[in-house]
Amino acid sequence: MVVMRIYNKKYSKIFFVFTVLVFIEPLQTFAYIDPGTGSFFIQMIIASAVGLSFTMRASWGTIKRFFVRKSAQPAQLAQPEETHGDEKTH
Amino acid sequence: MAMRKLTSSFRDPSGLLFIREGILYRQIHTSYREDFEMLMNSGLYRELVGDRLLIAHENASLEHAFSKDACAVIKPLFIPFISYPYEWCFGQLQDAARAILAIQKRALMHGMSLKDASAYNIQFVGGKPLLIDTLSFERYREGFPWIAYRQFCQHFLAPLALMSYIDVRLSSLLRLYVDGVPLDLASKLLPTWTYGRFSLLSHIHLHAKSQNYFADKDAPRRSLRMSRASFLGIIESLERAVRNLTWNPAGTEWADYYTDTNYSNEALLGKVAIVDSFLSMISPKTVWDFGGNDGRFSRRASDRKIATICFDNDPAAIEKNYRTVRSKNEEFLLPLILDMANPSPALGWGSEERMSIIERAPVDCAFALALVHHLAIGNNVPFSMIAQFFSRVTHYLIIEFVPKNDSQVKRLLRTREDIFPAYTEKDFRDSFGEFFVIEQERHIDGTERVLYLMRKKPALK
Repeated sequence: MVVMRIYNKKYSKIFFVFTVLVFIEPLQTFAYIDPGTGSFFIQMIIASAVGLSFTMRASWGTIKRFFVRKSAQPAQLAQPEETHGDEKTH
Repeated sequence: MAMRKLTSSFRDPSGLLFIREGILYRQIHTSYREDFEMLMNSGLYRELVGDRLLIAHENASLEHAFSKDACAVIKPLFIPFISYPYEWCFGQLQDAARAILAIQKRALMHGMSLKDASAYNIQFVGGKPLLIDTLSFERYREGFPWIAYRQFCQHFLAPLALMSYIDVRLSSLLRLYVDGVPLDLASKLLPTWTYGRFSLLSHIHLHAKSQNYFADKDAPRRSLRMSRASFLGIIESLERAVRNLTWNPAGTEWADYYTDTNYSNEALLGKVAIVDSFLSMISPKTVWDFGGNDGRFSRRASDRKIATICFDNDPAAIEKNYRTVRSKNEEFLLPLILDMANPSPALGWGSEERMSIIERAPVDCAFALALVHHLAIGNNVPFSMIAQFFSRVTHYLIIEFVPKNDSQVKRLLRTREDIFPAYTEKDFRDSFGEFFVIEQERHIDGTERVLYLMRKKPALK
């Protein structure tokens, strides 16, 4: 849970900036600028989003197992009876 | 000693290209020594050259150096023809993008990274995209984002997205913008629904907005740290974005030309035989086929292992041709988009960074098959000017004269006034005779057309 809290804190900030950027109007840029700054920044945000997606995909098995185990518990309880039933057929 | 620095290699302080006694060399500056040594010693160079992703080179003597700040001199593999991204079809630009990303992934595995991702660093050699800038690599610095990310998006992703979702002809924007399509422009042009695609939302739309947002602000650089996994995530995200963009050639004037022409099968075979016999007579090492469509006649040359370029102004025909080249692993044919009425000019700083098509000439032999009526009638270019152009780009010319009573010429004149009294075979011969000597002429059986083999007059240099 602690890990999840840190994780959420980090990504909530990123999503905030991500959302803000969605609503910024694009302007034509003619000024003499550092062209890399905005590119570096968005790259960090995308990397985080891509990293989040990667982490979710990597953790998906664990999450799925957690829920499957919960919902599978009654079935697991019933399993010995079925096995017993199978044994009866032999 | 006659030495000349190439005008295209001034941006990168890591080294420069120069020509000495007609041979191209690349000088590596002392400031780049460690990166160059890592490229050579890490196994990355050997791996990339082995997989035909990076240009091979030989070591040359340091005595050949152009200036004193050199720590090494190399002699890169000779590339006979330099093409530019605005001359590539969709598939070529997409394959070039894939090559850059594949190289970047390999580089990361060897502790290096690409410090630039310019489309001009890719050339099609033997039918495949090849990185020609040996100095594009630097040591990977843990925590730093990809320095060439912006350049990759501008040179590859933005034009590919515009070609895929709006119009394939938008590749010509690369001709207008020497450092790739500005992302704010791409964002403005792309349909609104592309905001719904994560790859385009992030790498183009939000990227453009981020660039604009930070145009007059300092970014919190201290916090800009990216793990190696995230770095790889960006590269894979770009790979997916590029892979998901598609364009299929269909429905243009020329893409189905050979299924919609007035040539009978016999006449076409007769024309092929004449072109073959002309090629046998002159044995050229290089051929440019102007208006070459899907490359049917270009292949008469490239199948003889003659380095051949097939130019056409129809992106669909060039795309079809390139797909054939790719599927059959054809090494001697390079299809490129070129509008003869407005061919690639000299571009970039001082108009010297990118060569015009004429600066990349001359070629041993040019084809102008079923083309002259389009130039003379379709574009109102007089025969004398057509002849002069060809005299500037080729030594030999295989050209087809299409008379006014040909159905294709009639079609061109159907909707317009005939203001071409000088469009006769006599005028054609007189005009071309000023620049060329007619060596052979053959009538194509079953048609009114004549094929000429011409040689440029020796006095014309």
